Amino acid sequence: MIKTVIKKGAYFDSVSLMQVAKKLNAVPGVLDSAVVMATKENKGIIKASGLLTPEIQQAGDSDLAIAVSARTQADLDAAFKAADELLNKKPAASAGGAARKAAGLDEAVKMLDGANLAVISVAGRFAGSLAADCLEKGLHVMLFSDNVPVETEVELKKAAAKKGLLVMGPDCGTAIINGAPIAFANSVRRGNVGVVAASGTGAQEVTALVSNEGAGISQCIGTGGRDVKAEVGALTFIQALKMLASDTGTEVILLVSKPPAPEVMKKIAAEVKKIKKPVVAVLLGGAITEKIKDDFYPAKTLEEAAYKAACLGKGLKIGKAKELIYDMNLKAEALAKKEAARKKHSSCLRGLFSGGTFVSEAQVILPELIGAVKSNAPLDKKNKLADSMKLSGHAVIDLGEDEFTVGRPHPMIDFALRNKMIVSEAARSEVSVLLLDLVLGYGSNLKPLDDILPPLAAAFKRNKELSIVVSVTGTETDPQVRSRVVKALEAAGVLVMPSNAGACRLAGEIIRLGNRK
Amino acid sequence: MDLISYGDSIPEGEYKLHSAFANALNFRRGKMLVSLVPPRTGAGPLNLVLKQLPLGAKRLRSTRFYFYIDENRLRKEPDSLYSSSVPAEDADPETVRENIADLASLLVKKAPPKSLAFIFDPKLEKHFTRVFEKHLLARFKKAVAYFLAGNDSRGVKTMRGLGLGLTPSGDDFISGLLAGLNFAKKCLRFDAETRIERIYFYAEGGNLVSNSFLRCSYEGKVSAKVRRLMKALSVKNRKELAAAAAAALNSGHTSGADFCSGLVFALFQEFKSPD
Repeated sequence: MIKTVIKKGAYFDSVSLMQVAKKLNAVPGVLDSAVVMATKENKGIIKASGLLTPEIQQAGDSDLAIAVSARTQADLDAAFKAADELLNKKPAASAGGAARKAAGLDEAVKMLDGANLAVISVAGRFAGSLAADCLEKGLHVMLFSDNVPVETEVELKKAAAKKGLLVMGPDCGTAIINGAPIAFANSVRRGNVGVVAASGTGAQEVTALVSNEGAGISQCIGTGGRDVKAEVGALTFIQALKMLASDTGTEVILLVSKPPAPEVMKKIAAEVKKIKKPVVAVLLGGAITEKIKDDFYPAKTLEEAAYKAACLGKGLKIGKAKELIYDMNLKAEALAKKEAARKKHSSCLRGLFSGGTFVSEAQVILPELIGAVKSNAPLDKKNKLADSMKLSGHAVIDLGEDEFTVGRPHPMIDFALRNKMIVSEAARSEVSVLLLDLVLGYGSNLKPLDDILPPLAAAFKRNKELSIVVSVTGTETDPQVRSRVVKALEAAGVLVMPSNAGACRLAGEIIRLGNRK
Repeated sequence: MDLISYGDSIPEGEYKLHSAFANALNFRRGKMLVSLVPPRTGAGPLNLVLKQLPLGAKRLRSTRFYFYIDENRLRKEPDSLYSSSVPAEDADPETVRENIADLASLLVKKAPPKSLAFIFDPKLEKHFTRVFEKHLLARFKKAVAYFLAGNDSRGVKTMRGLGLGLTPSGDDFISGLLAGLNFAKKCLRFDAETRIERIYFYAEGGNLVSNSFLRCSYEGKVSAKVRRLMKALSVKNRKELAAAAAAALNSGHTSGADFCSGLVFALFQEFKSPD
């Protein structure tokens, strides 16, 4: 008994065709089968095998022919059912891609009835008009794209505000909305701490630390770094503040940013004054001198801000945050003494970061311990590195800067460049400590250990006295599972700290103690 | 959407979606087929390697300085251009001879069942079990016999369009033959031009995807994986040869193995040739 099916103009990749052939041959009662493109030559073989039917004879080179010979009709039916299941299976989405396809915005909106937020990641030139279309359709917008002109950004944000909508970005890489991590974000507990962040990595660090400390996040609204510049005037930052102020699920507000323009800072401060909820703020590299209101808590580092917000969120006294940091410092000091004791020489620190905000934080913490630190993204222009590829003295590098990312993925995803630098910097006799960040979560490298452990081993091999200090930003429920990553790094001889600030203090302390010998 | 590399053989013009797989989106313009592929597939003369495949993409346009994929514009950065020519460095014939013997052994060990690697070890014929497969095997063997007898035209006519896969195994084998002969011409300075013309004359069939690969091989344009393999054939480095072979085999199901079988077969024949 023979049955044939022709799939006209249907293209299946070879692996699928082989799977179908294998499956057909495994069906009990199937005597012979062929799953081939109906070329003239294959038809010859099909004929010689006694499987040729008029349908196959009429099929063309671009048609797929499935021919089965089986003992009974039931066997034939079972065989074709198995074939159909495999051939009709939707193609697997590529990494990070969506399985559902939409030809354009209209179709996407129709396909996902009830959606109220659009994430836009297209070339900057097109992102503005697409964002405007989304606003027209009543969607909040997260603009992952960068290179959107500043005038477009202002226009979009003003238009959105009129409609009561939010435009996060451009260049906004992190948000957690109603518990859903979007783009580069961590899987955090839900809770009562609301975050407004003009810094992606900063947002990831504080939300992960708050969550790891047992508190939770109500919302994390990203604004994009340019929002707090004078040209934009913190349009989204202030709108987000207002939203969190009126959000019943938010009891504590945490602000993260690099220092805003002075006139923008005044606007933000005026808005903060109106809020009847405690506000914690970290403006890396910029001090807040004004006592804005009684329950306003400035912080110097992301870690301090996160712990303060977590304590407030849990109803604990704010002083508990200092205790947490003090305890961590004690551990770091003990570790630093041990590390410094095994070194004959100690001189320079090199920080190789994938997160730009961590570079700023490092420049806030390290100078107090080891003096001037140079960088490709300096907080103070006088500390600008002359050449980002030739490091000298104490230096911290932001590998996410444009000079390193042209033509290659972000260093949080692709470790290749940093891995090279880890090995090459370790080989330099003057380098005593390598300071790294490792950011976990959605969007980041899903198998960071596979990529980072080999260069770390090579670095230790090249420099026996080297200390490598790593901060791991993430949570237990992240796809990479923070504790697994930490355990593997520690087993490889790496000193792991729960926060970037903690890692900076440990790295700085090792250098300080080592150089004192 | 980031463009990691683009092939050097993609003509300017408008392309329409031809077929979509999890690992490739094929766009057609006339007889030309251009593929959007992820990094693991690698660069090729007609490939645009993208960090992430835009699964819903419908249109592709190539202009002098840009590619447009639906509404996304991607600049043709000179650094991202993939030069697909068969390597032109002179190779030591003895080294190549040793390496192709090693490559044949690797194929026997690593090729998936039912590929054309059986021509290097008859033990692999045992994988062709069903009646249809046995007939297929007999036909393959007939084609190979024609090639061995120096009757390329009969060999190609028997082999083309034959076998399993989206690009039938026979077509992949012929692509490999053409690539191998181009390698022999460019790196070993063998006089392979006449055979290349003779084989290609009969090679094309009605399968657009196969024809696209055949045309590239005929013109001496190969994918990055094959280029790496060809470079490995020219030097004494067994480790690199094994790594390059493993990468080249990792294409389609049997496609990689069928192509490599053709390449090795062509080079074996060239070395045996009395000329």
